[in-house]
Amino acid sequence: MKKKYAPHEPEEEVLSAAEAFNDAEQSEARWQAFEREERLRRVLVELPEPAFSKLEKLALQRGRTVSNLVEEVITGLLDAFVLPEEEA
Amino acid sequence: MKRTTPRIAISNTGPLISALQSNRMNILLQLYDQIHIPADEIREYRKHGADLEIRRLIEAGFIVVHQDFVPEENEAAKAIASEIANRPITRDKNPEHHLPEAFAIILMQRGDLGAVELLMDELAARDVARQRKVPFIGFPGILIRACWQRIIDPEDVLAALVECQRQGTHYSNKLINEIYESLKVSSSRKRP
Repeated sequence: MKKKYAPHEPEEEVLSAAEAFNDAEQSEARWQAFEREERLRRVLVELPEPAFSKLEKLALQRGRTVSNLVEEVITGLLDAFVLPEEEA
Repeated sequence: MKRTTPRIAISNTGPLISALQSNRMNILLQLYDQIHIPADEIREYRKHGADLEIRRLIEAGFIVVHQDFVPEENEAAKAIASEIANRPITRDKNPEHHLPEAFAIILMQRGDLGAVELLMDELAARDVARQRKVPFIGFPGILIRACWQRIIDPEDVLAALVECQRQGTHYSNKLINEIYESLKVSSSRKRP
């Protein structure tokens, strides 16, 4: 059975749909600025289940996230293969 | 070639509870590398029956708990909590109940943490954060971003918000339907 969690401050007003979209737009702009500053490029990786769930479990066990693991693997591949070739 | 700057956000209790209620913590794990919270929130997670899940995320290093507030920050948090309690939009007029969100705002004001945004749903606290130019996003906004990034689709957003509502979180039918319809229209436009 799915675990149920008590709601947080159910008596308090929460935002409208317009505010939610505004939140998302502003957040997207902030993270795009962060990525520009850090010289990051986004990559969309679509993993079939159960691969994603397994990777997620593994990531949590290691105190990492799925994005961290994918990033580490790709960086490792580049360091191992691409850079030595470029240096040669 | 390693990235050195983690994607850090601060969170108030509400969005993390919503992520647990809807079983969508995976979205936060994809969008952020670390979420920092003030220690005052731990008591709230216990109250919500979520302390075990939060403890696991703390042990995994995803959630980082702060209790290292200096006396000036404690005083500033009390002032912010009073401000939130005095907002006409809040029904809870006890400043002590608003201390967790006040400390979350204080964490956002620490330049050395490098936090990019504050996860927060309650209108009164968002109003006080806005006044202090603290950037924030609520849980519905996080779901929208995740949908834009194709981490989830509009049906997943709908299911997540409905599940939160079913468990008592104050998301209205109007909010849920407007978000779902708008995402459905925009995603059908993008697809060939």
